[in-house]
Amino acid sequence: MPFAISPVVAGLFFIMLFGRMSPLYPILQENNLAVVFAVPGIILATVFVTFPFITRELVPVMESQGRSEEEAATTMGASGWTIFRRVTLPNIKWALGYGIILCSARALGEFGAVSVVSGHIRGKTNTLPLHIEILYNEYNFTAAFAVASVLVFLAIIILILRNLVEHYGKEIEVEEMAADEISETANLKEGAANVGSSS
Amino acid sequence: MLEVQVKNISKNFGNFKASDNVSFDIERGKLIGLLGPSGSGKTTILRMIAGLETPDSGEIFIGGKKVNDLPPGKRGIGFLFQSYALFKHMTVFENIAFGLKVQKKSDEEIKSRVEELAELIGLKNFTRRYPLQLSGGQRQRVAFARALAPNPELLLLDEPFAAIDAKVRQELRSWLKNTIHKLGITAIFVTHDQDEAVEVADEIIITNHGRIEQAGVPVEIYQSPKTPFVAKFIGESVQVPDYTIFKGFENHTPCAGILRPEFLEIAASIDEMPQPMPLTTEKGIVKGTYFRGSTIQIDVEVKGQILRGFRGLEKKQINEGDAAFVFIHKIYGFDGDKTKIVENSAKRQESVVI
Ligand SMILES: Nc1ncnc2c1ncn2[C@@H]1O[C@H](COP(=O)(O)OP(=O)(O)O)[C@@H](O)[C@H]1O
Ligand SMILES: [Mg+2]
Repeated sequence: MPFAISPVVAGLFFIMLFGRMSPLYPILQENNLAVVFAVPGIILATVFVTFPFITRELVPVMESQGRSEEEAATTMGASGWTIFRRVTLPNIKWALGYGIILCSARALGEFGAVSVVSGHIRGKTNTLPLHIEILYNEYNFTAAFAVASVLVFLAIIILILRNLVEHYGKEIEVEEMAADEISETANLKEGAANVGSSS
Repeated sequence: MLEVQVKNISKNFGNFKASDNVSFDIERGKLIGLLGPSGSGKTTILRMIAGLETPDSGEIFIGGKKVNDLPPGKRGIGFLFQSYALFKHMTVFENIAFGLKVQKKSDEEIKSRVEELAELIGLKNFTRRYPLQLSGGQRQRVAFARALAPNPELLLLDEPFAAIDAKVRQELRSWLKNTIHKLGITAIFVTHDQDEAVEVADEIIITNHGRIEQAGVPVEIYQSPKTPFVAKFIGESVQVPDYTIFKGFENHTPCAGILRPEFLEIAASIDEMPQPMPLTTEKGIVKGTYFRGSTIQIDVEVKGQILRGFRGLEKKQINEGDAAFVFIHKIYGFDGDKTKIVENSAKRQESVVI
């Protein structure tokens, strides 16, 4: 769903939800919680806008794997947490890693939603892209470009990470696929002959 | 001693009846084949016994204990999935050890049990491989060992041979049958292949449209099918819309029926019949002959119906287009949702004479 929503609209949505006009506002105030124009708001907006990147990576992988491995673990008495840790997670780890990287790349450059929610309080609720905008609007081009190059540098690091994950993940899959030709039932009879003694 | 009792279980998916008032009992130590066409609800029954699916109504007992409210892991079952569902990222050793680790067994105990099972399935030297490095038949055996590892009372196998090529399948069938019997474990396996069910199972339960049509030993199911569906489904059956058109069956009210090849005597001449009975023998035209290894299958047209029978190799050869004599010993006549065995009138008169 959040894919189809403009980040700016998402930002407005959070302001409506947690801002002064919201019925939630008095409760938040009582508990001394600032969401809009504060760090929690920025985090919320970022998560909302970027999370689809993780789900988009995970859903197809999980759908293609089905749930029979999890069911097999259930029939052997494994608990929900054990199943997640030992069966589900290892199967989705590459997709999950890839999703997290994509997600952080998006989070780094996120402008629209955060711009609306943050309120541009310098040194307090500013993100890198927002800071660039402020500097640029102040005609402070040198500083703006300096900050921008920090952003570019971070982007390159993420790109490298992404390629590493993709490359390494694929390599492991290829290795697993490299099954040798094995004679089918060569050891079968020998094993069956020992059934009596082993049971 | 009953190991499994299923009492009146029903299961709907939406308004589709996947199981419709299913009941059966299974004795301890028996190997049971759950046989039926694809989509007839076999897997659903197996999954409800395992606890992977909850019945809408009815009761399930395993080892005398009601298990409806027990989770799968507490039912004392081992489940073999149609796709094996081996843990891809674990070695053969880790796969087999999984259930034992969950039970918090000691490392030595796990090691000796896994080695014992790896030996049993003939993969003692493969325990460090991953499932993707194994052939289909080997994966299936690993799944078998994994299900057996925690010592279940009851083993449930969903189409265990479906994904294995024909040559290996034959060998695996007899191996699995022998192994299960030697271990003395109770097992239910699902199949849509009647040859497989007849060959492997001690008893067969036949499903159709979510219901049980008949349960019994293979011979009984083969010789006295209780419902039209079973008569049609088992054996190489030919259905005729009205069997009273055939000689020897005229004295019955018109009714559909099933003929098996072994009910037919096909002869090149009337004298070739074991007991020539011209009044109750039909004449037909041979429409096709097929060599079947130990016999020859003959399709013969009688009164507009194609009937199928077998002929021994030692008999005179009959060719397509030849005239042939056909004696029908008996027919499974339909009687509502039951069947009855109808004998040729010549045979009944004979038995009166004797
Ligand atoms: N989880 C489910 N949701 C909806 N329909 C299902 C589900 N599982 C099975 N069915 C339906 O129930 C019917 C019986 O399925 P199944 O027990 O798998 O048959 P079989 O194993 O004999 O081929 C099928 O028509 C299938 O589409
Ligand atoms: Mg099935």
